Amino acid sequence: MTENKISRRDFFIRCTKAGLSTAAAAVLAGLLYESDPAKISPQSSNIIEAMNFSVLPVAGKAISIVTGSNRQATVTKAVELLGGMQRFIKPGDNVLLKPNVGFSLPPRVCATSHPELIEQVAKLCFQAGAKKVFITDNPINDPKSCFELTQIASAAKKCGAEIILPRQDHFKQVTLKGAELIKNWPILYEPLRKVDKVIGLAVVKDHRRSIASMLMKNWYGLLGGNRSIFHQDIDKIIVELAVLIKPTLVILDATQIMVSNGPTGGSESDLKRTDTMIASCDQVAADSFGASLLGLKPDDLPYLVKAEKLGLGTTDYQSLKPLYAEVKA
Amino acid sequence: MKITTARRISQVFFFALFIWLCAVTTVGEKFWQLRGWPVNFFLNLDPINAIATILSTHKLYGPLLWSLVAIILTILFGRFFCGFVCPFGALHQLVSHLAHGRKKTDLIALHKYSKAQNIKYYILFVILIMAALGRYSSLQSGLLDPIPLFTRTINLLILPIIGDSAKIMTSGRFYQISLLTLSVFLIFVLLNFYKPRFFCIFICPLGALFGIINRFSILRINRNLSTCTDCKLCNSHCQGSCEPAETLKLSECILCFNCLDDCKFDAIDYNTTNSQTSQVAPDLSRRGILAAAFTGLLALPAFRLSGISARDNNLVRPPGAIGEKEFIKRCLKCGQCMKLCPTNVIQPAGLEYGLENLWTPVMNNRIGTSGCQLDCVACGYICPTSAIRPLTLAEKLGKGDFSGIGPVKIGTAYVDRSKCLAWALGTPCLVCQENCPVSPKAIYAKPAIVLAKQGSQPQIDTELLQPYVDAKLCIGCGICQHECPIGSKGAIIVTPDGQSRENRLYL
Amino acid sequence: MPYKSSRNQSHTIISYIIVIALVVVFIAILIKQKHYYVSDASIAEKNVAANRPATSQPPSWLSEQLFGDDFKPANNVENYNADNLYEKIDGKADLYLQNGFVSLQCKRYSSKSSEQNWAEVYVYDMAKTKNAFAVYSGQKRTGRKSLDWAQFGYKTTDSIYIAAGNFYFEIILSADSNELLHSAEAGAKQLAALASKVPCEPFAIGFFPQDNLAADSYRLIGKDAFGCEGMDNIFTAIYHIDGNDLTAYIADMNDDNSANILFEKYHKFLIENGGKELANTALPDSKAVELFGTTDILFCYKNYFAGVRGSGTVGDLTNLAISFKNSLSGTKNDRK
Repeated sequence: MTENKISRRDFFIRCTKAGLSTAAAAVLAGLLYESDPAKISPQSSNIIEAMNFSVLPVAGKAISIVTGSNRQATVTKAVELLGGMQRFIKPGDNVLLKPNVGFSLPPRVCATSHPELIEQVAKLCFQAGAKKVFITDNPINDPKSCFELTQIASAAKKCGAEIILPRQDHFKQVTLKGAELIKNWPILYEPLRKVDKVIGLAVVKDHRRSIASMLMKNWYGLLGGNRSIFHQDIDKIIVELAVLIKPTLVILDATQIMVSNGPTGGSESDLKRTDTMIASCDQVAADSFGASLLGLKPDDLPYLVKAEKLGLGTTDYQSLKPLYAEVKA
Repeated sequence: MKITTARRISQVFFFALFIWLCAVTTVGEKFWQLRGWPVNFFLNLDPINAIATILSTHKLYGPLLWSLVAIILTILFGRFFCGFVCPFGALHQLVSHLAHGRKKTDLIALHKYSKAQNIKYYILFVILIMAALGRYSSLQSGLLDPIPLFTRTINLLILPIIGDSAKIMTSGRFYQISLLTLSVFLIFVLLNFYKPRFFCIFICPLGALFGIINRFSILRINRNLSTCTDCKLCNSHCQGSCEPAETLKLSECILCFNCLDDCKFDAIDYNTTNSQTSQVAPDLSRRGILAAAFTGLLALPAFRLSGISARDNNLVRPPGAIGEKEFIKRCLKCGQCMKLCPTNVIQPAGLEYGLENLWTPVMNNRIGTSGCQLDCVACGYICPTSAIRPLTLAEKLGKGDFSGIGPVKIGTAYVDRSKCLAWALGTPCLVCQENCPVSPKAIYAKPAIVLAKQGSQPQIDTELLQPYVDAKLCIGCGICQHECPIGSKGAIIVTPDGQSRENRLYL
Repeated sequence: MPYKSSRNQSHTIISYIIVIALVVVFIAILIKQKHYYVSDASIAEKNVAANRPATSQPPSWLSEQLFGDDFKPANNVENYNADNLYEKIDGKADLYLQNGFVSLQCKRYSSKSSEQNWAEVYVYDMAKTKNAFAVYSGQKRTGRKSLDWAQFGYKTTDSIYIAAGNFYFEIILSADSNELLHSAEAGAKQLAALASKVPCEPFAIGFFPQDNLAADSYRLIGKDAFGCEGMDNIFTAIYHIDGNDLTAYIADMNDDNSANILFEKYHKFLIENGGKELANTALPDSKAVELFGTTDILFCYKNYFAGVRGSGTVGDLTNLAISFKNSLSGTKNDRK
């Protein structure tokens, strides 16, 4: 009765294999072991302080107010008064334009940024040596429709700027240090990450909840997720957004402002022609001026008051010695 | 003593232990209640839970470390778990015996190996791939993993039925989708009539996992070629259908040791002999693996295409449940929380939230004895993977160290004024306000402004009080919804708005 | 055969090892079931109410003798303030908290002869007469009988409810017992008397003349009384005089000027809707208007705007109005 005894060598190999597998399992288990249930979830979010895209301030060149009916002419003049785009954009810079592309409405409604304005600003950036100019926004309506119907998509094509349509992987959970609302909230981070300069472009609109929607409200378009909940404390979120992003330059288009039924408007009678273009390094001051065009005082917009208190800018735009000019059509 | 005797003792022991641990999963300190009974014993021992959660969460949660014992013992000795421990397997073996036990003929044909036994490996792959999908990952092992499956069947079906008929429990326990739970269970049990231990052989992903890792087992079943007469009797009661009479497929051998008993010539033994008679690896085709991988990769995104999110549905989870994205990576669908919940308010979800959420815990305030009790943290305490976090009472109520944060909100209640007695029918009620357990109450009442009967002068009718909900105070416990006398969902309904586990709706 | 026996031996050893392992597992589980975590319920604030003093210290009228010699106190006085009122009266606390609740004192008295008969007395300090009236009128029981010795008070078969001055009292009995009820009423009278000694501001309803007043007919009209926009928070009471139902009404305004404004507003409303101005010399500084068969006589006194209206004779209405004005200008607190 001979048995097939396993050879010592084979037995040894088998034991080794078994032993190694055991050890591997044990080591893996040990490395990954976590007894605190709270730590099993992934890290909550990135805590960041402000994202600062601003350039050095120059006294007397903080805000310019240009009147005229041709947007492309007035914005060129307005930027020129502040020192020209080359003050803000250095050769080789990647620039992000953040206009108001919130609604899928045509330009004549003036609920969104005008395509001609964006085209001109992008051109100025390229002239100053920008390598790439991106345009992005997280709209309220369907993103693709918004960029198409506002004609901003075709404007971008004309001037060589690149539209970044927001995708889910463009958003990152962000916590703004010291903030109460921007806590672990998805922010349109990806476009911001890859640029050196950010220019905010907004229109002047009546808004029921925030009283007016101008440059500071415009950053709402960087929020993702279920951002409607922030309407419960709209002033605080606007201020926190202003802490989060310090733009290079802001341009407020007050050529035609929406005085009623904002922020979507829809009718000719909602608009008023004020033929003004404002370029500024201080968005609080620019909004304060914009408010005056709507017949409002800075005190009427709580977020302006709060922003000023936090030192984000001044509501007394006169103190910045605005540069005025007029451009005949 | 024959090893098969020890095996039978072991199977009876673990089966009884399993049933006992399920039965004691009720809140209380008596001997037959929870106390310190390790009711997650089998779930902790189950390596699929550990491995799948490692893939989905990149961490091994504390108690699941016990599965290392099962893994190591399997690496060293083979699929002892299937033969000696698994209570579901024991059940199948019993039913198979009842179905085929008296057969004298055709036994060898009955236990023939079939290539279809590879299906369980593909099932395992699909499960593991789904768990490993990164952003899309989801833990679906609970659907077919025998321990969670059997646990929830006992918890949500068998014990409630027995308890109700034997009047053991003071109030009957009710569980949704009982028909589905029953069908799945019954089908697997009845399939034993077709083939013994059908589930174990063809479907069980846990068995598949053990079948993969027992390749280097030091001790194994070996047929002594010199003494073997090729009578093939060893195949006649082989529970794993691994054909010891031919090339024994080691990955299928579940260590039932029946072959040792059947052999009249003592040619089969469990020892360290040469592995020439047994084939080690499972016989998987490349095509099969690819197909499984493909399924696993596509299945989940396909589930998710329907775009159902927790926001769209009234998906209210128990207090302490983690955010939905993480929850679905950890929930085993074991039903322990549903069994333990003293008010029977935690229910298994059906298909209304998608296949992904089948058998996961949701709150149904209309079932059970009340909504979520204020001073109870049982569900998080028992959850084996911390899909429902263990809360301390202080955290749940927002007291002590947690006073700054406030209580855990399950959701928020809304009064449906189109149905509420006081609002719609002008009838005084206020049961909701009366039962609101927080202090100050989240439901407050104001007198209605009702028109006087004569003329049209409005008068304050101080007897008709109408309920209002203060969303900032409401914790979503659902006691109000439970007590509301209006039928169907009631006239005050808890929605997932404002729940703590996602970003708060109310600032 | 040595092989067979050694084989059997090894099998037996293995089997025994397995069984011993099972026993070890069994014992380990038995040991484990003894150690468990009990959630710490002590952090849930279950304060014994008696230990917490009320923020204001009202005089305790709940003396030993409140119910007379046949009763004895069954517990100590319990004090509650706004924070912990819920602990005592649960859902009903809202009504009190919304109406200026300050503190609650309660005490139970049991019958010396039969311990299971008891009465629990609740003394609510509502800070103002109008608050006490609000909680009193906000929860009237059915099957009630007005108390003839209290302006605002009624009893049922097992309870007594009284609003007196700034206070609201409830006496709840353990059973429908006449003996208990009798003692309770006596106790209630004592409490009402104590309450009337506490200075309190005059309460508009208190000025309604008592003669011919329909029992329990006080109402508060929240908005737009009698169809006039802006006539808010008007107290009314019904009188049966000469077969007619007359309504007396009064509004408690912040100051004399506001009372005058309301007076003018209502007058204007009546005239503009086609009312006929009547001469009325009997009551100085009043106006009388007849509109669609209803006559209104309205006047002001200090910060009160008041009046009477109805379809009775002008004489009856005038008398009621005079009586009303006297009540306002004459004795300040005509509560018993």
